Amino acid sequence: MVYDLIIIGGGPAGITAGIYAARKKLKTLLITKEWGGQMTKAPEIQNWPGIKKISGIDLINKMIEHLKSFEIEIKEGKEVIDLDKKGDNFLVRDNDGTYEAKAVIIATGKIPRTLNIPGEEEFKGKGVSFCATCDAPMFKNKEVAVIGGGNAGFGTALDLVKYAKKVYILEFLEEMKGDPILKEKLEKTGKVEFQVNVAVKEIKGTKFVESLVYEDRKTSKDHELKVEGVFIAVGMMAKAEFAQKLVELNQIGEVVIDKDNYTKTPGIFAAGDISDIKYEQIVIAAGEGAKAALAATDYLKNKQ
Amino acid sequence: MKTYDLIIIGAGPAGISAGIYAKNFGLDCLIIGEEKGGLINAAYKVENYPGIFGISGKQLSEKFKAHQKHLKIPFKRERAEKIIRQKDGFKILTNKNNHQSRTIILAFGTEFKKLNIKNVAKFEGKGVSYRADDNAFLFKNRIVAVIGGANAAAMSAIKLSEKAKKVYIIYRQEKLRADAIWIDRVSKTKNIEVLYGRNVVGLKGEDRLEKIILDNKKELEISSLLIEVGYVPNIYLIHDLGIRTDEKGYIKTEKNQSTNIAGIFAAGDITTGSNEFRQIITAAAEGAIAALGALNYISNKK
Repeated sequence: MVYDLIIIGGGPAGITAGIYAARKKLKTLLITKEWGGQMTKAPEIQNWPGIKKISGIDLINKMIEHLKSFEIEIKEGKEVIDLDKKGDNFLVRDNDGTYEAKAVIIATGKIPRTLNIPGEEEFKGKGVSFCATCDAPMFKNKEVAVIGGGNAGFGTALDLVKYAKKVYILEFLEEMKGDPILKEKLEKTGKVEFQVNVAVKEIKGTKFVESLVYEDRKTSKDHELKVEGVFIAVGMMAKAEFAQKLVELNQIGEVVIDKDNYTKTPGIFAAGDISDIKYEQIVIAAGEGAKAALAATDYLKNKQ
Repeated sequence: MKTYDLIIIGAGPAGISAGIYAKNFGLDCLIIGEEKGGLINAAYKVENYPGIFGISGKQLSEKFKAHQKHLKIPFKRERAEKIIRQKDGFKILTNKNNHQSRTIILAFGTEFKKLNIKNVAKFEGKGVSYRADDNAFLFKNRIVAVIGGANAAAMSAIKLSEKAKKVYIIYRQEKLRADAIWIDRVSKTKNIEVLYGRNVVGLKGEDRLEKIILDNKKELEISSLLIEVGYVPNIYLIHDLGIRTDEKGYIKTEKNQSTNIAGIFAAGDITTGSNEFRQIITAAAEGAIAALGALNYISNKK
């Protein structure tokens, strides 16, 4: 059997693409490893237009319910490992099968790089966060640490200084890597303390985060820092190597698209955070998903 | 006069989304618009706005409004009439006030496209309408007609078929271009008849509309005619500014929703940004991007 469209990914971009494709009655298969991806980590979303306040999990559940109200085939818990060509069509291989489609949308999103230290997983959502835009308001008048002194860390800190009493920015290397302009802005607030040569080793707490332990890499001495929040901003990872035979990946692994979501291979589209679009917001990813599905619909129509 | 960081002109999905983002970024912003929700108010059903589904356009519009109120995003029900460039920003003249702002997001969308049918102006509001939610549209047990073949026309026909005795869809092409899901519903609705390859060329009636004349000279007795043939960009505001548009009048935007004039961004149906797909979700997405654009513009200037 040949599908009209295979959508890879079950975040806001993939789900929206699925809603649009199903409404166009394309024979569609959506394959995803998990639902929601990054947004499931947001305890409170206030910027999904039309919903005043909702948790990331509740919003993704509404989207899944919406998607499943249409006719669409779904394979959950499957990771796509290869994308290849077969004549005019494409072959999508996951860990238990190979599926053929006339068009493909890649919407696998990004995953935050983790530190892999004790406490990081345990206190996720309990003081450990990967998203300042989502979680900063919860740290009003509190002391927090940002791990990572690049632009992502600075951006995170800029979100935090609006609320937090004090923000430590901890960088592993000898100097901060973020833009000096941003650094200057942070310095002006008088709330930020910068520390370099810091290797964070553990996040501690009982119910919630209470402190973190780091090694000063110059003196090799361990220190404990009392903070109630730890924001990890050591970058995101785009993982689209499965598609690299057919699409162009940029230096950081994102799928290169034009403004209408086309990749370099006609018939393969990308949408959301996995693409090289600069904005990583739920509503923007969803908009991109809609555009990609409609572009795929046009592509299929023109092929007939 | 107070100077805002950002004034958003238009209060549809693009404008409200821009406002939500601007507010979250801490920008001092104001939304100016004539109708909160904009065109979605006229949509019978919205089934493709992710996560909020099975509701009418009006209900979705209410949700947008509630969100705007909840975040206390200032809104003024005014009609923007002129934008003047000045040092460090813009002045916006409305029908009631003058405002000043460092940046602007143009999000005033599109308006209903009119058709060049003989006598059409005479019957507007007297049997001819452009929106299916029009209160003046009396169709109970009557025969009515819808001109158009896209989603809006199909949706309206379905809505009207619930009350009307009969609904004609009159479309100039041989096949409806609505989503397959709507075409299916139309074909399954017994009291809808689609007249393909036809145009309405004239209207007749004493005071109210009574008859329409088709291009095959056939006359149909109907009591109401709904014209749903798409939209045209609202361009009245941007003429003097020199904002670049495409040949149809849609504002050309870059990836960050900026226009050719520094400090002015555009979002939603008024732009070329969504590959001409112009959906509620793409408008909302563009609103968010435009707000980010305005934020970056202001940060870089400081």
